[in-house]
Amino acid sequence: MTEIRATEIMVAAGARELKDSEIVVVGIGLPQVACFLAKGTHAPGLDASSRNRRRQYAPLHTPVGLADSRIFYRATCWSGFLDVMGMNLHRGVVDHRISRRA
Amino acid sequence: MRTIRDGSHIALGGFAIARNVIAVVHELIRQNKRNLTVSRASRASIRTCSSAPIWSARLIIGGGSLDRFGPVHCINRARETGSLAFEDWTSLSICFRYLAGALGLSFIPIKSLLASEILERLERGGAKRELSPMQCPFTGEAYLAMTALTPDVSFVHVQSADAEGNCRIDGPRWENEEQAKAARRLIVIAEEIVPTEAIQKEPGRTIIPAHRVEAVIHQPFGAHPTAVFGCYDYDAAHLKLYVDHSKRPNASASTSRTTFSRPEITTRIWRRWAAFGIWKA
Repeated sequence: MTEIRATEIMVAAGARELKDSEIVVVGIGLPQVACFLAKGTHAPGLDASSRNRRRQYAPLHTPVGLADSRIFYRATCWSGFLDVMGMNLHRGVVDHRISRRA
Repeated sequence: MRTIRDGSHIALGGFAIARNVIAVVHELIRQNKRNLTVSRASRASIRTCSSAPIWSARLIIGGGSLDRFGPVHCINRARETGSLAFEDWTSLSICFRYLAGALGLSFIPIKSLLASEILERLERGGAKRELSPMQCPFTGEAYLAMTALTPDVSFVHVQSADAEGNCRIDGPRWENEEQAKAARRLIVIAEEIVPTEAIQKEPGRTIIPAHRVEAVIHQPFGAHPTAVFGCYDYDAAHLKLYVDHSKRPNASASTSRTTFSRPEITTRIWRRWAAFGIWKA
């Protein structure tokens, strides 16, 4: 059996926090992976917006970061900071915000 | 680019490894501009990073990196050596400040910076005079007032524009619309110049209307090696090379040589630079 890494446990724990149909704003790095895991398993209806502003994306290939167009695949909305972080996160109309802590 | 004076506040569009105004930054460096204040919501801009310590005096920025390609070594080094003045905001607060500028407001309130370490750092650093705690005059709620950001010149790279400057931006826009509209002067770099009739067929796609645009530069591949959605992907090999060179302080000259010696894309960029596009009268 291959060794389980701490990052994988964090991703799994993060994914379990997310429930189907919840609205979540996702930060860069492991939170993205946690979100993809949740969407790919128990929460296909998760409404995920990343800091880079696109809703309901469902990438097929691993993106290198938030500005990589692979992450926009099947997005239902392209917008900007004002929309995702302003009119959603700042206003407080999301269920979760998951982000990396330095 | 000759009209950009030393000491100006310029705003650079794009985000991380997408739609960066690389051609503009190269030309600003080539023209040896000095003491520029540079603002943008994300830190990364290949070339901007490597050269910022040379040609700028102050950076007003949010978070960011070159995504998985690595951190922005040159920016980080400048921070460590104190060769640049830094104002580290958040991407959202920068966007709010551009919005205030775009709306003609002198300040804008925000909640998100309250009780954050970023606020403590800003107050300790050079941005203290850009911030003031305030209360809502109606509800008494606590806010932080931030001054508007009004760049002297904003540069934004777009997929297409007509010769008058009606611009389309496909894919995420980050803070680019507010940043463009906050500026006193706006210069657009377009991958493609399309007829006005094409714009008129789908006017809902116009993000920046022509009357705000001073000049349109037709510069295909002007964002290379960063990506332009629908036009080209990021150049991973070039980004890796850049990050590798940027680890060493004196490598930027050799990076420049390597950059411009790449035959397929960069010579084409060079050649088209010389023409430097369509300028409005």
